[in-house]
Amino acid sequence: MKRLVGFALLVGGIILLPWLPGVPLSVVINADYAGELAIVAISLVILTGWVGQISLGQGAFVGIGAFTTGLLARGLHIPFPLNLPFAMATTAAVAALLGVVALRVRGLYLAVATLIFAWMADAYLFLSSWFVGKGGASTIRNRPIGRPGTVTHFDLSDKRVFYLVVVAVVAAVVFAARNLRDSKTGRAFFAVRGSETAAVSLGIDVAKYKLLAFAVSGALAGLAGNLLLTDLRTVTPVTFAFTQSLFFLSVAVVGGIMSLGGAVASGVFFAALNELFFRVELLNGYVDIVSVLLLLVVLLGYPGGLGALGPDLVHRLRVAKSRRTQRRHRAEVRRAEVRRAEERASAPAHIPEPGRVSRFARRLRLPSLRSVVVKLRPRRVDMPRYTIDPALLAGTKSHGPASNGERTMVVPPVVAAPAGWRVAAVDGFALPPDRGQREPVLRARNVIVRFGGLTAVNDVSLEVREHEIVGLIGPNGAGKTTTFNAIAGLNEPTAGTVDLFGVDVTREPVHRRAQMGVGRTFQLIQLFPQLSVFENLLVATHVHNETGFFSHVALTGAATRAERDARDQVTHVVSLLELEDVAHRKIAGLPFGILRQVEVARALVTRAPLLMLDEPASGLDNNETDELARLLYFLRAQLGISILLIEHDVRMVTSVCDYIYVINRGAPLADGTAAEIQRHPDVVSAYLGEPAGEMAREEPVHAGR
Amino acid sequence: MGFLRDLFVNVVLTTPLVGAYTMFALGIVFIYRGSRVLNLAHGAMAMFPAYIAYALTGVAGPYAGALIALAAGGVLGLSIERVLVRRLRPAGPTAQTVGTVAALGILIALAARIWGTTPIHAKGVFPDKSFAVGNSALSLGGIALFFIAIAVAGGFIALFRYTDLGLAMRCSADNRRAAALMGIDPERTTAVAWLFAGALAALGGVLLAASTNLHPYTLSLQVLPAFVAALIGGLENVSGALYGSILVGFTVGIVPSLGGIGKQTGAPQVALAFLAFIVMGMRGGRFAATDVRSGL
Repeated sequence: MKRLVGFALLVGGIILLPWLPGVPLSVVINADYAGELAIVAISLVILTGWVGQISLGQGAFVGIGAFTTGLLARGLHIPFPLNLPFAMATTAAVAALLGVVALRVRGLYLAVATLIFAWMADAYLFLSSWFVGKGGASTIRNRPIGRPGTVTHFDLSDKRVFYLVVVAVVAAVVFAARNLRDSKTGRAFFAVRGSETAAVSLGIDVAKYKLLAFAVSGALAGLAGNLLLTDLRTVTPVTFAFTQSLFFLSVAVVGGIMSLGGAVASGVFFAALNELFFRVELLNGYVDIVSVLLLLVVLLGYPGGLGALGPDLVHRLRVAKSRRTQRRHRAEVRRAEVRRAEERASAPAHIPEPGRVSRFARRLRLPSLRSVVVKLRPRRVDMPRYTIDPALLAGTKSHGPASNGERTMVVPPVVAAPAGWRVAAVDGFALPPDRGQREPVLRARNVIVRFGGLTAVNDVSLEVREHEIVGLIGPNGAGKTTTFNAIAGLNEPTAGTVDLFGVDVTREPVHRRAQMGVGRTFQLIQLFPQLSVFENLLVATHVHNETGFFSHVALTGAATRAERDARDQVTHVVSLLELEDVAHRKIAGLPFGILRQVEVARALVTRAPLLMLDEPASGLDNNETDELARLLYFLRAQLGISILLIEHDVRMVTSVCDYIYVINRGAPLADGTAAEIQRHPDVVSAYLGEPAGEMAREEPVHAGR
Repeated sequence: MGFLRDLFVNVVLTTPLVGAYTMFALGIVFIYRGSRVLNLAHGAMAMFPAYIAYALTGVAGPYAGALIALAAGGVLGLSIERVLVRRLRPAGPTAQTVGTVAALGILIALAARIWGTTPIHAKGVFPDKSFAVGNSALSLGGIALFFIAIAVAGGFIALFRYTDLGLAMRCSADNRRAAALMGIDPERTTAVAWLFAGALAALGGVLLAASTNLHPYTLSLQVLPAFVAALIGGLENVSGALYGSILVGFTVGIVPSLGGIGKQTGAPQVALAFLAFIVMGMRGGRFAATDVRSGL
């Protein structure tokens, strides 16, 4: 209740600020300016903070918004609220055009490109008479809205009235941006910033989201330009000199480049500086030096930005307050742990209920005709999409043993967890003994990859069939990962074809293959370090979320529902892989073994029926490798997921793989079942380098095969 | 033939600009390699020493003044690295870039405070002599600027290729940790990069100020084409910076002589922007290569 009153007072105070006793006009003018700055800062928070595209050209966007507004108001007599959408659309279009550059270059290269753009706009566009009018300045008259003398009369030239407009617009922008941040679009933005490779592998169209970010950022900058011109009524090219772009970036960084609240706070901060210089005569002539010094103080003293200030204070207060409760809580947790351990020791291992066996692939469309069309018009065609049954992931449905139920993996005694994968899995997707009867999911034929003169992969063919775990092994530098990337689409094969689910995808980009139903993990872990485990997994729901950008901005019912579904899915996978304890921790700082699990979990969330795992056991100890093997077996046996696996750990490969391909120096060496491979003389000499006798003596982890 | 003669004259007249851009672009490349930072304060690092040289010319004579300005430029580079760029490294490249913006702001504000904002004609290091080229004149200082720049660029390319220090700088630019494991102090090579860049910027600023004017803001902005040059050269490539500067310098010189649209204000900038975008379009794959590699 107290909070509510405080909040109401704050909002009321903000709205009524110009009419409070003793508030001079200069404060109102600077308050308007604060709002405009805040919007520019938010446009940079989205582009630079969230998507990681450094823009040194935001001033030019604001200028384009302002001058478009001027053109419309002067030339076509379209007054303020009506010219606003046009200003936003024009600037968004220009920004998206500049965004095309971002598809080619990254990081500071892009920063230089935006710098050049701002400089060009400053030196040419804003001086050309066709754009800014004959006088070189944009001057407009604001027509009042509504009839004079009535309550709905708004004289926009009155700074106090315009203040209301600014407050409303800033509130709307913050609301929309917040919605965006917590939506599918926002997560795609973060993913692009974190790792483009991982983003495309989760089905995110990186190019689309980069252009979208530029367009959104441009639209907001155009909005700010529109407000600025309507507010000042006259702007000259000097108002948007290219150094202004640098100033805008400084505002965003002082606010904390990721934070919306910080952006608003920083806008207020710099506008307050203006007011300060206006009030204190002593500072006259030192304005530049003092403001830069203040910028430095904030930058060096508080690199997190003003946006981190609030949460930091709240956090500190809370920590001080809750120290005692924490201690009590810790004791409780310890007692609970002891209790659980006792229960676990006495409970028998739980085996999932037997159920009906069903095929996993739900085909949405017939692929045969499509594959022809795909070749002709690859970008236009909707690719078929395959997913595994979400009910399987949720654990509300499970597969029991198949008719030859004896094909179970022999695993060490299991530490019981209810119905999880640590239980000895029972095979729900028994394979026909003849490999020819299993349907192919992935088929790579005669793949050749050349880098310049080097042939990294020479004529490799491999197949993954339904419900199989297929291993791809070979010595270091054999071309395993290159083959993998050719299959996933990260590098284009020089020759050869790749079929997924019967569709030729050789020319399809990575994200389209991912959307069809391929999940993957990487040799060097590619998680998004700034996000929590849960958020990392949420990114993977991208493919299944059908809602669009505008429904995210407006937070429609569909968007909310899709968000809830996404969270449910992630929760299922979190509990399946027992990641609850770390679910809300940031990736940065988690142990390596957990990160490997999170990557597998993220691939699972995509519900892809085909997983490609690149050395998932590297960096894991023996126990962890055993656990991973059990997990893979569970995924195959209980969810029916097919897996293509690159691995060095021979013990693991021979224990879980149904079929193994061996390549050496880029060329195929042998393929067959684990037993066949272990006996194969070429493999033994080229790869294992051990006499055959010793290999045979090694205990196979499989039984019943 | 008149057109070709005009073109030739313009090319010759542009040589001082090529020289200045080369020196600036080299510095931008050094700093990018040393710190992975886009040094937006580079213009101010040229402007401020130019003022120092101007102020000292009366006291110590032009040569001593220029030398002190050079040293001051090096110190300026070092201090920006120490005070701002290094300390902002944990906050990320955006914050570092804004740090250099702050340095730019402070230097311009200080210069304006000390020397005012009226353009000043600075007396050059070289005698005030000029040669007629077509209808215009090319000053001795301008010619010297070009040849000094070429010599300096050649010297630095040789330094990077053939000396231990060059090797150390190249490898710590590639991989700081690996360099540190080989016994190279990456902080030291970074400092050396900023020192060189600062001195070069100062040299370019002092020489350029003699052929244009001294003004806190305008002189600082003279560096912008050098960013385009560095970008065209690949931002990491020392010899690329040289080629980029030649291309950019001649574009800036030639575009106005094409008449028509070329004569409009800002036409050179538009031409440069297009040049940059075309080059980026062509080389994009190579610019972007690092990220893909690290992901695999």
